[in-house]
Amino acid sequence: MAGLEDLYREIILDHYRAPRNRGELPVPPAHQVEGFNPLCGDEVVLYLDVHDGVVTDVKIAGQGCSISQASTSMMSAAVKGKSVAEARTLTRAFKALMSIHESKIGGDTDEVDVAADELAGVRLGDLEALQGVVKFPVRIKCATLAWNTLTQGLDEIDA
Amino acid sequence: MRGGVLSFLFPHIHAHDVSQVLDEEAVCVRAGHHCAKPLMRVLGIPATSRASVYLYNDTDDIDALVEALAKAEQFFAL
Repeated sequence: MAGLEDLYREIILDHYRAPRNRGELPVPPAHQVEGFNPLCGDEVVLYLDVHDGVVTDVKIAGQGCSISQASTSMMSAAVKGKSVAEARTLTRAFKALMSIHESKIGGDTDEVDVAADELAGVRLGDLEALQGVVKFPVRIKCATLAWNTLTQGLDEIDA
Repeated sequence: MRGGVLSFLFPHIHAHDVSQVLDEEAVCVRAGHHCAKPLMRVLGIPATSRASVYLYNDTDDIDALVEALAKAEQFFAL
C-alpha cells in the first residue's frame, strides 16, 4: 500500500515550508486570478504578468494543504519565463501525470496520439515529485488546483 | 441524548494533511468544511478535521487518535 513517503516527497515538503515566488504584483498591469477547492479549504491566488505571449512574472498567495500549496509553488517556478504556449503544454503534461487525459475524455483517438507526442518531450523536473498523488485520488484536486487556476488566468488574459 | 463529534485544527497544519497522516495510522476522520463554509468563515479558519465516535468505539480508539495526532504534528513540524 502506498505510504506517506510516496505522497510527501522531500521536495514537496520543501516547497510547502519555503514556497517560491510568494507575494503580489501590482494589478494592473498584472492579472490576478483566484482558485478554490470547494468543500475543503484550499485557496490559490496567482498574479500573472504576461507580455508578448511570455509569462514574465508570477507571484503566488493563498492557503491550504501542503499538496495544493507545494504544487502552486512548483507551478510558479516552472512557468515563470516561459511562453504562454509552453505554460499550457506544461499544464497538459502535469495533468497527464495526474492521469487526467483531456483528449481521452473527448473520445477522439486522433487527439490522443497528438497529445501523447506533444507531451512525450516535456520535462517536468521537480513536478515529477507530485507523481505520488495519483495513488491518493482524493488529493488529485489539491495538486491540480494551481494549474486550473493558471489556465483560468491565461484564458482571461487572452480574452 | 448525547453525540460524540469533535472538530479540531492545528494552527500550522491543514486538515487534509492531518487526515492523511491519520489515515496512514488507520484512524479515519473527515477533513474540510463539513458543508459548513459559513461557519468556517465566521470562525476565520480554513478547514477542520472531525473525529466522530459511536457505540462501536472504545478508549483504545481514542488512544490511537491521540498518538496519530502526535505523529501528524511531528511530520509537519516547520
